[in-house]
Amino acid sequence: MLFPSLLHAIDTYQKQCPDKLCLADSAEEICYRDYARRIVATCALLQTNGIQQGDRVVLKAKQTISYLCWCHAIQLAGGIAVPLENSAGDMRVEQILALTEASMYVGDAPLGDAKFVPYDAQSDLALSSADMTQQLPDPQQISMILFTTGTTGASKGIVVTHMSEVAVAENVMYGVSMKPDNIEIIPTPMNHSFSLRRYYANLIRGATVVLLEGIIFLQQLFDALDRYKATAIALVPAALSVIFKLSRDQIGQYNHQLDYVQFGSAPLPEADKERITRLLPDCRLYNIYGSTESGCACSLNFNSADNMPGCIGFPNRHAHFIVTDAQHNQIESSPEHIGFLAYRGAMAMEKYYNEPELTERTIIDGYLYTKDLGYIDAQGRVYMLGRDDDVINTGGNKVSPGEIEECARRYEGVEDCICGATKDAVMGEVPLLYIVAGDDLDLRALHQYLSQHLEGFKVPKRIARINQVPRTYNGKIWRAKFAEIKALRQIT
Amino acid sequence: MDQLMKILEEARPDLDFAKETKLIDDAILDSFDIISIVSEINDVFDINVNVADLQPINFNSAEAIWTLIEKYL
Repeated sequence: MLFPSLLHAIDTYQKQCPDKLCLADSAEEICYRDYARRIVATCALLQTNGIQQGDRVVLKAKQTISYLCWCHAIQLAGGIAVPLENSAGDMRVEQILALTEASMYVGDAPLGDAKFVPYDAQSDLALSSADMTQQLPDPQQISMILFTTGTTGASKGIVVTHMSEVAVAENVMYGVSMKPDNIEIIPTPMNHSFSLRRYYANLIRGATVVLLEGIIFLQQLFDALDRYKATAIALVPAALSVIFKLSRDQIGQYNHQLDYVQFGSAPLPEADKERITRLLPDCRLYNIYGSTESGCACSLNFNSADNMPGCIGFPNRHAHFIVTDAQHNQIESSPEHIGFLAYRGAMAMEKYYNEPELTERTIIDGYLYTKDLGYIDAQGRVYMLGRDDDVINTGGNKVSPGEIEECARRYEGVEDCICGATKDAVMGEVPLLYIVAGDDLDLRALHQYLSQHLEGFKVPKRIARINQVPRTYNGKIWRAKFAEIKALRQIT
Repeated sequence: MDQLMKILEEARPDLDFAKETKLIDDAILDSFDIISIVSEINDVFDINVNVADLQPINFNSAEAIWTLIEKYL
């Protein structure tokens, strides 16, 4: 690997290119040398406050240089950073402080029993040395615990090491063919693994990251593109929908400036893929496949010949894929013989925090076994056709709800939709479709359209209107939440 | 202004928009609120708020949002 840890990368680049812009946020900019100096000074402050090797330090994520500096300073002091979403309420923070037995909380006001260090204490620090050589961490050491916000159940703590952070950064860096002079805009929340890992990739490349507070105030994105002559953007699919909704095709003006745009944390809807490809025909456009547990395993440049239905691209540098049967036995896969995707590599998490049984069930012999169904083609491309727990089994035919939703979304007037299933005495299960649409949409005409574009057993047996499709922050359809709402409201 | 207040109250019935002056600075409105408010404003007032006007300062209070709308009326 290029570096044993991200701190090694910062230390290297602060010597090699000290004046190069490392980070910018809405208030300030910092070069590699000053970033290193600030990390060293913040580390000294944490040590004065008694931080010890292995101590957990909880903090809320912000879209600022200061936040990232706190994370690295905690790690340089031998501690473990535990970032939470910025919107976390006091109860959530106290819960994580207790769960992780954190010894310190960096925040705006004291909480729980942990020692409190004010977030803004960093601004008063006198900067002197940038030398962190003596304190650089062991690559096997735990660097961070990432808590999921729990879309399918309770929040899980994903424990990662310095080495796995570098491995996932390399997966991203090589996966998108990042250049050393890359300048990437990251508007997504920095507690989220997707955002952190794009930042890590730029760090190990010695490139530049511009942090934005979301993309709702869209002019800030266009201003940042102009001001920094940014060459890349990292987005979640929902953010692209917002860009289209608020600015229509304006992003197309940056076709010759942008080197690539990468999308992650959820598959991009086909219609959005087509539209962004039309607007940015000269850019590389990536959809990244992975998980918080094992990041950025596959990258697909969907503005290339590899963009085939279901294709998620080639495995990234540290990822190795296999396809298995339900008993985890490796199988020879093909379009006619699909199985479950499993992958392993140095980017995998160490474990779930305080969940040894869950860890053992999730990672077996180094492989993360998913419920994603797919196959690998002769050239080594990986295909993902749906999730086993979402798949509808109708008369022995397996139907991916995503395929029905994709088709329905193409029908004019369907603003959003979600596919579900209901028990059927004859077929076992049959697909149903719930749509968000205006009153003038003719449900019969939609049904006819679906009948023309889908195989018979995939055509929904009933179509109903709903007000909203529940989605997670990153735009994924929140099926578990929908099932819950359906049960509560008795939507049939 | 009454129409705007109705839009805002429908988007976030839990807030007193007559009093709030830091809707964005204090992160009282989230991204979904802002998208739904902008969409409603565009529809109800038959305007098209320009991307250049999507700035936090224009959304910190009901008064600021009304000033923005007036620009297009």
